[in-house]
Amino acid sequence: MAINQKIKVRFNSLFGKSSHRYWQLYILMIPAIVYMAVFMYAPMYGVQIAFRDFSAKAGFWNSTWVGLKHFRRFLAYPEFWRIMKNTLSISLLNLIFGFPLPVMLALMLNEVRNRFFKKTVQMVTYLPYFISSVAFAGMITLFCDRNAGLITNILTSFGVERTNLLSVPEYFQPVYVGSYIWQHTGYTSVLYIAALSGVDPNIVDAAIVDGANRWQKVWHVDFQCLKPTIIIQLILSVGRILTLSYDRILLLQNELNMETSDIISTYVYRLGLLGGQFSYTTAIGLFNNIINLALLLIVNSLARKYSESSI
Amino acid sequence: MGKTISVHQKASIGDKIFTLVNCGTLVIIFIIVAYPLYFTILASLSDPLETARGSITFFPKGFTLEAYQEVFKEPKVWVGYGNTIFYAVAGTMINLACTIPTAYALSHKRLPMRRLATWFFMFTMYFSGGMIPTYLVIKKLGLLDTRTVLLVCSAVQVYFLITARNYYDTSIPGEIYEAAYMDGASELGTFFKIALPLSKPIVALMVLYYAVMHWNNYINAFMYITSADKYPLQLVLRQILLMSGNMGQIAGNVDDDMMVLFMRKALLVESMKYALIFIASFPVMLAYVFVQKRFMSGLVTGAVKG
Amino acid sequence: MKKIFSLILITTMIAALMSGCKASGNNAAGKSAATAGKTSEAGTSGDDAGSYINIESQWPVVNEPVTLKITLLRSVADSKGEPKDRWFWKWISEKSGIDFEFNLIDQNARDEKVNLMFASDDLTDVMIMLDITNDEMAKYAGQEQMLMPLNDLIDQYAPDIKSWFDEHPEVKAGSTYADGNIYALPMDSSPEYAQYYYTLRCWVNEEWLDALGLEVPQTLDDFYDTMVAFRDNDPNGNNIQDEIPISFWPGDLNRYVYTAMGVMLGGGLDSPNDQSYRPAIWNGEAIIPANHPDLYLNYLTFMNKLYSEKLMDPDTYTLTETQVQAKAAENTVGVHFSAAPHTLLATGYEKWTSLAPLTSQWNDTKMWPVSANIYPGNFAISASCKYPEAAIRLANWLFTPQAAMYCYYGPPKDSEDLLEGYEGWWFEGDQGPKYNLPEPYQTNVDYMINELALFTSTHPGLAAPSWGIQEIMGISPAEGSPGASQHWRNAMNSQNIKDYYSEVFPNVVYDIETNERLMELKVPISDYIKNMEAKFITGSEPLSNFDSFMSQLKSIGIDEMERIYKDAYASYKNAMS
Repeated sequence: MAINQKIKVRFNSLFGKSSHRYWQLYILMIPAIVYMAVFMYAPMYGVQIAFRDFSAKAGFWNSTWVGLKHFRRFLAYPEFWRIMKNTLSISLLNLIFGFPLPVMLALMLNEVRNRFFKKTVQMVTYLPYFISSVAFAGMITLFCDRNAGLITNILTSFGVERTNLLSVPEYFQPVYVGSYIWQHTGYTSVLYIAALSGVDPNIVDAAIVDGANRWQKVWHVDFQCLKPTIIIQLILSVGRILTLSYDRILLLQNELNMETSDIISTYVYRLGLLGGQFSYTTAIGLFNNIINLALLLIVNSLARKYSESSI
Repeated sequence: MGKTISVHQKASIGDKIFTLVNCGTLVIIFIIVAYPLYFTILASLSDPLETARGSITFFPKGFTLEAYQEVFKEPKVWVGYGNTIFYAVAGTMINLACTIPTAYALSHKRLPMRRLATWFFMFTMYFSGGMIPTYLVIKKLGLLDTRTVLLVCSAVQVYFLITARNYYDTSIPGEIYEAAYMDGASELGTFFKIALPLSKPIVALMVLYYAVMHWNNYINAFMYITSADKYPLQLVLRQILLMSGNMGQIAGNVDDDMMVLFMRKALLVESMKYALIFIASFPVMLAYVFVQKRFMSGLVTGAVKG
Repeated sequence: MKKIFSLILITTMIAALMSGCKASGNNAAGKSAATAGKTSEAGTSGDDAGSYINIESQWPVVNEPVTLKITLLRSVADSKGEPKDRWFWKWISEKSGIDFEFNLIDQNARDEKVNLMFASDDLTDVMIMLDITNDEMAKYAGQEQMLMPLNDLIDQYAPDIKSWFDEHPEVKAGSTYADGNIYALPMDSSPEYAQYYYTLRCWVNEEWLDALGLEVPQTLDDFYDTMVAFRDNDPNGNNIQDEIPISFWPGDLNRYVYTAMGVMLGGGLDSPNDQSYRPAIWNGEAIIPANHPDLYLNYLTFMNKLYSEKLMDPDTYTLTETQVQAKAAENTVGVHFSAAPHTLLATGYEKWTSLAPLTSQWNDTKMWPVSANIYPGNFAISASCKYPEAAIRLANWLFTPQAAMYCYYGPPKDSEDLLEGYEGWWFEGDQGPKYNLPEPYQTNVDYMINELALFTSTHPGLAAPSWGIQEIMGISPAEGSPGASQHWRNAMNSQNIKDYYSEVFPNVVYDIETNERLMELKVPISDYIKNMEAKFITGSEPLSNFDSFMSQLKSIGIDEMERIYKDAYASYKNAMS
């Protein structure tokens, strides 16, 4: 009897009147769902050529099935571990050093009273994002020049040996990550600034009444307010760890720094120049994405366990 | 409404140090960021040989406006501007229509099959058919070489969608919805009458993200557009850069003066790279100034008090 | 409700997937139907073709209205946009009787668009100037049979092409695929450029030589001594030791060092072709230089010496062109590399003289690679084209001197081929061709590219405009190509390079399996060699580690790669003899 009752309750809550209303929410999602179906799911059959030898004549569905052949080829690539390591290394450096900075910037800007100063700093930090990869690489190359480079000069004044920074493998990743952070911090911080605009002033007042000083206010009020956003962004970032695009790196890569600058996507780019390697490059992309997805799921479940925010 | 602190307090020493450290750090950050930006202005106005020599520090050397002139000489640039403005405005509106309601819906704790719906979107971040199938689909829809394709082919960016959903998750407390239901509002009604007015910061953020995405995008046009009159600005600029750089090779049998001209053009590519940054991003900078106002004002204030 | 809803969701997804499936399925089905149709057509075309094709004379090409869809590469220099707006296509459409429809591909999107075109089986009747590479040929023509073999068509309908191929067997060989079929016609600029040699050479600062009383070095050791003198004896006279003897990428010097050692590196189409991992000829055999320790170690030792003794720019691997230009302008550069000084430097062209090939203790014959002025893969006909005869007749005309002239310059003044609204060109003294430039054009080249030419400054067939003028109007390019700048003429005539032409590794075409294997091997091997060579030369890797470098090379398959080249070379020699 008790079980029957339980089933009835469940049944009611699923199909009872009150739940009808929530289906309305799907109406709101219709444009997005249509878009996904047409532009994302319809072409998805293309993924299968990672497991086939693509032939234009046979098309996607009739190309020879080869199973994991392309994945094995990737793993057998002599430099596989090197490009994997480099990709992870650069991404992790980006994450460790580049993730906290936008948050800090947002918190700091939030505390500035002078509107002019605030706006100006915000504007200037946001601009580097718009520098195209070509101009950006040109600038970095100049800044790393042996004799006249800005960064080189700064480093030599700290006792570093004078050399062209891009010709030393050990320097490549720090230089690249540093420049990447320079370019993205401002733009990324906009999100947190927007989130901070939602801080309830009542809580702020309450905190001050409780005797909090500025440092404490920032930590206990502002930062806590940002926490859910930070967690979601962190999960999403981890879920893109192997997705490092080639264009900026390729422009800074040369024969001397290859061992630290060669990443998965620059390898794929070189393959692309040979033409027609669809199956292989699709397999590599799939491989990357599966790892990304696995990492995302891991971090997501941790987030679900220990915090209130998750995907 | 600003964050006016209603309770007056004495500025303690700790607070003064805070302000000092805060502003001091921000000034340092400002300099670190601003100098290279300033450098690009200098480089775009200088003789390319001087730039290459590394002799530019605080002022342009060999001042010349040629880089800008070369670019603006091309009527294509204005076509590109017009197109990109259209794509950015119309495209962003479509993006908003697709993203905001969806983000709201996904944020609802009571959405049936919420998990499935969320993963329906997330899945596409990891599995995609690739260039050829997408191209074929677009071809089948007859969207090749149309302006429409550039407006719809990236209608939803899942990354932005999740960010927006997160906003609704955190900034709008559930009580508001309860209050609305009590008053007999439907779900759709709640969205339009209650949630939407509270969404200004996230709408502003989405406008920023999507507009910038459209503005900077050239890959889609690259793949799907062949008529030059539909080209967005970024594509036009890339072409100009490529063309100037290749002039020496295209030139084959030309006379001496022409050769000198072409070599000059090829050399200018160095400064044009920098000039393009401003040509391309100036309007976006302006747009940002307007959008900034939305972030400055806190907005959820008072709403909960109902 | 939930059930209904999930049903809807799943149905949508399936429907979407199915439509995608149908799209490609249809393509495949459609394709095989079309091919089936074509083969039966091809069987009968020999008989039917006579009716619509005019074989009596070059023009008109067809007796009935025919439409050909053409894919063309749009050059970045072109700003006008539409082929049908220019003289060439208007004229040829009239003369040939063919209507053209155009599918344009931007030059900077070429790789993606061409791959897409092949991969989605979406070819037009004719493909022009796409530079179809050996890899693409192997896959799409050799394996998938998407391009029509042209051998029979040429024999039956293209007498000019046939005779050109007979007179120039290397052009035919370079366009023939491993299965014996010709799938695409080349662009051949050799008539003109065989005499004017457009290739990367070393230019020595003549002012400095004079200042130090030195001659142009003739051997590798002389070269070394000259560089030392440049470094030490202050040839630019400013009392600062700021001279950098050798500026720019070390790869440019490779050709000189290797030919001095007797290895014919260079030539061929893949670029860069002067690298130690490219196939080369040594003592009549095909080799990969990096696979021969004695050879390679000598090379590395020499280069390392140059670098460590500061005879080479320390930033050699990171220099940009602009930086070299800046240094040259300051007169701190002793030697630079370019096709001609004026193509790299903005000023001061006259003070450079070119370096002839060197000899050394290992080899005393001066040698220099003949440059490949043949670019295959530039006129292809789709396997499902309904009028291949018309297409090949069109291509036939492209192999005439008249085409060489018209495709670039357009017709001369008073020619009957001028159409309404066009004026031809003429000569004035030794300057020409000259045009009356209409608004808004300010240079001849702009005008030609946008108003006259086939589409860009290059085209399939004989791409030798000045040679075309010579053949038709009798003005000899030896006196200086009409219109070519004095600089080019000087550069081309400077130093005796042509006297040393030697055989190079030919433009070989591989079959599909070999090609795939080669591609698999190429990337890791070339990456490794590039990386290690740079490190050996700059000294970050000591030469004492050379042996472990060699054994690593062996373990990633360099012997196999060399064997592929050796076999290909042997078959090529067989086919030629």
